[in-house]
Amino acid sequence: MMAGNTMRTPLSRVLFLGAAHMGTTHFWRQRLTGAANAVLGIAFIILMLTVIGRPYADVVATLSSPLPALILVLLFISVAIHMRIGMQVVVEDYVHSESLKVLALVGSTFFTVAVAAVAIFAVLKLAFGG
Amino acid sequence: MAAATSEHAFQIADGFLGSWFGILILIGFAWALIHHMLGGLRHFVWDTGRGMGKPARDNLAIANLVASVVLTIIVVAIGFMVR
Repeated sequence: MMAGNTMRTPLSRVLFLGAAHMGTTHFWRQRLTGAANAVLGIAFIILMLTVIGRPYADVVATLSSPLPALILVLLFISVAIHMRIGMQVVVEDYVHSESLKVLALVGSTFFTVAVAAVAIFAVLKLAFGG
Repeated sequence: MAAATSEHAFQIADGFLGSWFGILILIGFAWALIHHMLGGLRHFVWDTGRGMGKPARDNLAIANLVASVVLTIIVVAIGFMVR
């Protein structure tokens, strides 16, 4: 690239954040949450295998104890962030109408926050005996 | 969510997930998640610059599918054993 021909300011170029001002934030965060999901997800599968087929009281007792509750909350946060970034990638790649794209991204954010909030609230209610 | 709502809600959710249709969804969901996780691990390998060649890519894709089916069968088998 010839520096003399660019419309970009020197500050913009040196910050290296690109047109969306996010740089490699999403790229890195997707890998970070992906690694967290793999570890927490395996813990989640083991947790589910210990409660599957158990009666109500046993399931509540297990899910409300500290370690399982923490695993669930951390998994929900990590998965929510991972899911939201992943959906943005899909929307940006395949939704070409500008208005529809913004709408899809806003809807995606609302959906993610709603799902995460409900899921985390359910675990906290179990853990703190609501 | 159902467990946090009430015992009655739990019974409804538990009954559905215990039905053949609920188990089918659980198995499909488990397979999808495991396949997605292995796909993510494949991206971690690519991030190190390895496995980018044409044969390596094809082999990884096939290994991903095979391993996801095998792991899902193992998880489901353990699920039925401990139930």
